[in-house]
Amino acid sequence: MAAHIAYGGIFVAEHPAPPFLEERPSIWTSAVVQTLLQLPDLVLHRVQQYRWGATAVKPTGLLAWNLPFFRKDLYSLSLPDPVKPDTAAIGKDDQGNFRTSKHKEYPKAFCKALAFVVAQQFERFVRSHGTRSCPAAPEVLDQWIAQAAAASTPVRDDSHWLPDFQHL
Amino acid sequence: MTYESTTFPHEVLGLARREALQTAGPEVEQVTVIERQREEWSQELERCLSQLEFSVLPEDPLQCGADLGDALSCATQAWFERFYPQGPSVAEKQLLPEAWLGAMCDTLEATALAIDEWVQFAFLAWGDHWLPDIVAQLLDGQAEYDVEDLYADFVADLPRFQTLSRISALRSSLRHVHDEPPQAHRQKVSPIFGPPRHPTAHTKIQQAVPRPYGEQEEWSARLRQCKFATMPTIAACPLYRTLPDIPTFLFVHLFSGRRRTGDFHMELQNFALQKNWRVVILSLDTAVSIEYGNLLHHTVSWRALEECYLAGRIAGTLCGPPCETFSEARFTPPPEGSDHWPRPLRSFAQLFGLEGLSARELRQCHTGGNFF
Repeated sequence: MAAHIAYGGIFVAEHPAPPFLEERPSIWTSAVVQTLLQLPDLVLHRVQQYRWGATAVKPTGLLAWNLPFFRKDLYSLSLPDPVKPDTAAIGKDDQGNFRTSKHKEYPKAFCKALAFVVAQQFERFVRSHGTRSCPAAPEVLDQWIAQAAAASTPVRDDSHWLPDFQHL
Repeated sequence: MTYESTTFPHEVLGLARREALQTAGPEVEQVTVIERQREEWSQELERCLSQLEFSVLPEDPLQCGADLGDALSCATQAWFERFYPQGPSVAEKQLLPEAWLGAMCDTLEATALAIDEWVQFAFLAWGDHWLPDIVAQLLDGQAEYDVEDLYADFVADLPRFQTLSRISALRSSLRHVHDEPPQAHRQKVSPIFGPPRHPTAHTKIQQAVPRPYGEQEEWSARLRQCKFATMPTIAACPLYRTLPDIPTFLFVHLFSGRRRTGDFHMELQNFALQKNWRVVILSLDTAVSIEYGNLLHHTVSWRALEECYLAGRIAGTLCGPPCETFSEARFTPPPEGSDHWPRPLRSFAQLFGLEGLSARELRQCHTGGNFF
């Protein structure tokens, strides 16, 4: 985020929303984030992912830099009539799996909304000539970017993710 | 003692002191002052005990003793009836010891034997066993006190009583006086500062060992007081490359999770295809690529990414770091019978980690903190 503040661009960080109990830990209530929130173009948004199809309420904090229309763009692609779930994503289900596991990934509508936010902002940059060219990157770095982009292109719907829980 | 000069034996003549063998001399058992005192008391006790033995006894000691006891009791009772309840004068009080002395003299005269010691013994026995009953029957508190007081004064002058008192004192002394073993030298205990301690026990650490982990609360508090002196201006959005008439952005999605249909990567690309710009998306996660998705500090991926950021090449970032060590679920009580349950590792005040964490938990916090 510091690089984006210094060199331009947009930044979005996602993490669970600030807890209601003040003594609970959260990066959003940390001294670093609270200090950075003095910046007028840095805004912490609190949304609930069930509005984009999550099966739990899943309150989420979204820290957005240089995205003045973030909320408008995000909610423009929210589901029209979402029903607020009444189950919390805590503990294990009947199969012994952690309920948080399936919420590790964003709902598709939420992904689309976030992509829409980014796309709209890039569109605004292009239209308002708010872009700048970068000097050519070193060949090695260019190669790494190309390889990393290529590695992240294949879609693997059948792969699994690791749960957050780690045995202590 | 006379002394005379002599010469060393022939065998030892000319030997230096250091060449002579040291021999064990006779053991000298030193007598302490207390030991000497105990010895004196023991001898005196034996003398006193020998004094209690009777050299001469009456012909019928039991009968003689009973007669003496009756005479003493009668004299005491008669004295009480004569002077009470009005109470005797000082001179009249002395009539009772005189009556006791008269009864003892009558006994001596009756036997014509030198039984002074036995008479004293009989009188003391009467005082120990009969007199308490007599005094108890007087029913006059002042009379009881007077009789006991007169008896005490009278027996104090008897040689046998003095010997018995001395025996009691000697036995008590011998019982309580022991030679204490010598103790090692110790400093005196101060009533104010207590016993002496090791010199370092009184020292205080004037300068605490700095421990940033333990000072994170103060660090956070200081950071919260910080204010921006100047606000940064918004810089233009960087373009990764500019193809003819088509600007291209470089977008990084950190901790993207697995690639799947309808994810952020796919949707952003779809949106870009509808626009007059393109985007190169790097979805970085170990679920996508172990090599390129490893975002730990020391990895090639992170160094390359850092170079891109510091050169201002990246137009946008979406970041969803793991929340496991921050998770609210850690505050959920474990189910019954569960011995493996994640416990809270952080708090609002101690965001970088609570005190007393295990090494594994500290590593978890460290990793989560680095991602953050």
